Amino acid sequence: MAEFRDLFDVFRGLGVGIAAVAVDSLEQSDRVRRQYELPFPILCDTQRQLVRAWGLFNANERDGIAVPAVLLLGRDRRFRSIMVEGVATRVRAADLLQFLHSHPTAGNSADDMPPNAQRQRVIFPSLMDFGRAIWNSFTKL
Amino acid sequence: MNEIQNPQVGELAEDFTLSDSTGTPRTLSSLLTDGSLLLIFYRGYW
Repeated sequence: MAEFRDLFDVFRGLGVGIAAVAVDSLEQSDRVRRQYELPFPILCDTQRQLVRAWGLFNANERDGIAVPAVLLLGRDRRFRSIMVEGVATRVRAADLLQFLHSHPTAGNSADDMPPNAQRQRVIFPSLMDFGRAIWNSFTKL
Repeated sequence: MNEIQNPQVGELAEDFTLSDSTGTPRTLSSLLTDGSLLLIFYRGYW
C-alpha cells in the first residue's frame, strides 16, 4: 500500500487513479488510511459483495477477507488487467508503472479490447509477465 | 481457489457503490471520470 502511496502522483500523471478495497469496517479502514497517510480512498466492502462477485473472497480467514489483488480498469469500465496475488507473488507498483510507461494506452484506450477477446484466468508469476501477456494479446488483434 | 471466477480482461465491470472509510458513497463510474483506475484489494486490518 505504501508503494502505491509513494507513486500516487506518478500514476495520476499517467491518467490512472487509485482506490483500495478491503472488507474492514469504516473505522478500521480509516485507521489504515490515516496510519499510512494514503492520498486515495479505501472502499469498505463490509458486506463482501464485491469480493464475492469478483472471485476475490477468502472465506478461510477471520470472517472472510479479500484476496490480495490489483485490477486495472479502463475509463470505459472494462477490465484491462487482473493481477491476483498468489502465495509467492506480489504485485509491485514499480513494475506496474513500467508496464504503463511502455504501453501508455493500456489503461485508457477503449477500442483495443473487444468483449470476446480470448479470456484466461491465470495467476501470473510476475507482473512483467502479465504485462507482456496483455501486450501480446493487444498486438494479435 | 475461489468458487466464483475472477473477472476477465475485456469484460465490462458492473457499476457498484461502496462507502469509503470516511462514509462517502463512491461509485465505480465516478472513480473512473478522470481516467483509468487501479483497484487494490488488500487483506485488511488486524
